[in-house]
Amino acid sequence: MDLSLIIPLLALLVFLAGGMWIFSALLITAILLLTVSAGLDPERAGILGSTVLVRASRSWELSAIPLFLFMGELLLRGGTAARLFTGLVPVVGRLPGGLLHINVVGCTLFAAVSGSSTATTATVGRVSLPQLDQMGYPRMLAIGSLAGAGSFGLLIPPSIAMIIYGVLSETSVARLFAAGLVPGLVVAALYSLYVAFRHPRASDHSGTWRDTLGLLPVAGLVALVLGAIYLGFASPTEAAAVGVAGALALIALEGRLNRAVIYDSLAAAARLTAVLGAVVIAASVLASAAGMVALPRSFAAWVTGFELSAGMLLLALAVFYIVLGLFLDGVSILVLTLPVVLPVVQAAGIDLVWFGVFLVLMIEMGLMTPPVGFNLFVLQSISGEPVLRIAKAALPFFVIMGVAVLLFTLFPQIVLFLPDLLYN
Amino acid sequence: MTLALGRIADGLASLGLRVAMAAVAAIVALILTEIVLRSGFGTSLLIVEEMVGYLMSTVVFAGLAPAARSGAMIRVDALVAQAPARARPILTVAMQVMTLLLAGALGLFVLRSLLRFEERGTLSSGVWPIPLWVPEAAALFGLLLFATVLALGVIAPAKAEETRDG
Repeated sequence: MDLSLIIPLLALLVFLAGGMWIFSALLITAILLLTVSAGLDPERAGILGSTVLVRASRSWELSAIPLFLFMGELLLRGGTAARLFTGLVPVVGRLPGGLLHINVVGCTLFAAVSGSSTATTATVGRVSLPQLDQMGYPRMLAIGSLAGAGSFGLLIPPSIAMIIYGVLSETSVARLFAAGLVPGLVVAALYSLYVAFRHPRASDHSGTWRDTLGLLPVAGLVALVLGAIYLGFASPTEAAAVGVAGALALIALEGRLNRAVIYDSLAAAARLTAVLGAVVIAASVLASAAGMVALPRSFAAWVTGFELSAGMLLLALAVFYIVLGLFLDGVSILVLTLPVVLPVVQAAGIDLVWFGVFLVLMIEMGLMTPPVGFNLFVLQSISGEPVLRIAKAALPFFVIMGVAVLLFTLFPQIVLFLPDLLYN
Repeated sequence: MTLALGRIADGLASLGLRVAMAAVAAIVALILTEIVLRSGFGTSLLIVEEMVGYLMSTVVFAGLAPAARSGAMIRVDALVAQAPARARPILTVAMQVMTLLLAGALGLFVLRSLLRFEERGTLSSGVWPIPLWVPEAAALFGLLLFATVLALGVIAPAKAEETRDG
């Protein structure tokens, strides 16, 4: 590799290792690529970099992020999570595995309003773990199922990770949302089967169906938002705005709407949007700079030189992403790797919608692995257990997700049939 | 002195947050208005996509300062955590100073672009032409706020935890 390319890439590693914020590390690396590798003078590199940065920040697709975050925060602060536990007791209580299924089903449902795995794990975990402890359920199985199912926030639509992938890979976010649904439900079913196998006893607590009916308005709102996207009535951004209006109406009808709920929800959504948006627009500048020095093309040519089959390439990418997941969080993995990995994937003839789901599953697996598996830290703060003990509890769920990825690779139609059905 | 600088940084971060929050609320209002007009009255504002883009840009840039001040920015801290305790604050300050220089430089380039648009009277190509220096000013405002909060933060660090989102 050319020395002028090695310097910026080495600098990126140093910045990341030094704890620099990801977005500034990406931007400085982009400027280095433009000046050192492409030979532009600093003046032109600055103009190019700032122009791409500002333009990327004006993306319509990106604007779905604050709206989905706002909707999730409103429902969270409006008391949805607290009702989740009692509402699900009659539904899952009589099944083998009993109330442990609440972790899996609760995370699946909450993922459909939240879009963030951290929020999903923290919200469901805070409500369910103390109750399951009190009822004498196996603690490590409860924690492991939360670590696994908590990551559904990234896969089950609306997913912030899918929006970011869609923006960076120029893939339809609506198709990605459709592609994520069935795999999410399949993984949830596999988790539930495992929980039932490990703890075959049903629950003594049956609950009342009146509590379950209390979940219907939120379920209806989720169905409305996703239905509008899937049936083509609204773009993800428009559906998210309707979701915000619906969430406001729901909590107003329940008498929980006040200034503090609106203010806190809006503040959390705005702050997190800035964090994620800054990384995404910086990645756009890096992708442009990398494109100018033909870095993605060179990398694609290098990988193609190994003459790997699509299956072998995916296996290599799976190992690559699992190793990255040990050190980087999900958004960082997405933005750092996509500019160079996408041309390779495209050259191998792999469907970009399918690859989006594959990538999100890999990131979800990373959330369960130490030292940087963020779900582990969330659960540590809730349960007080050491991270390594939580990681050990999460291991079976990590393996199940790996099996699911293999299943989706062997039968890609599991991922693609819904987007094909809806949009072809 | 440090306490006063810290308070100024907190105030500026809070200002940025309020602007970002107002922009999110405006995005919701604009899109809902468009949906009502389109489905109920068969008409359209015709500028929603363009305006939402400008507002989204405002959310990102104005939100930088509060995100930085609250310690919410994404970074890799697994390796920094292994560094000797005495080296960690030095590393943090060094990285913040580099980000500060970056933000300053970006601010300068955006300012030049703003002045160029203003001088030439450049308008957007939408149905309702908007002077292009206006959205550039929103980005510049966010970058300046961010740079100022960073500079103050080097002297008066905020007591915030680093958080990340999966």
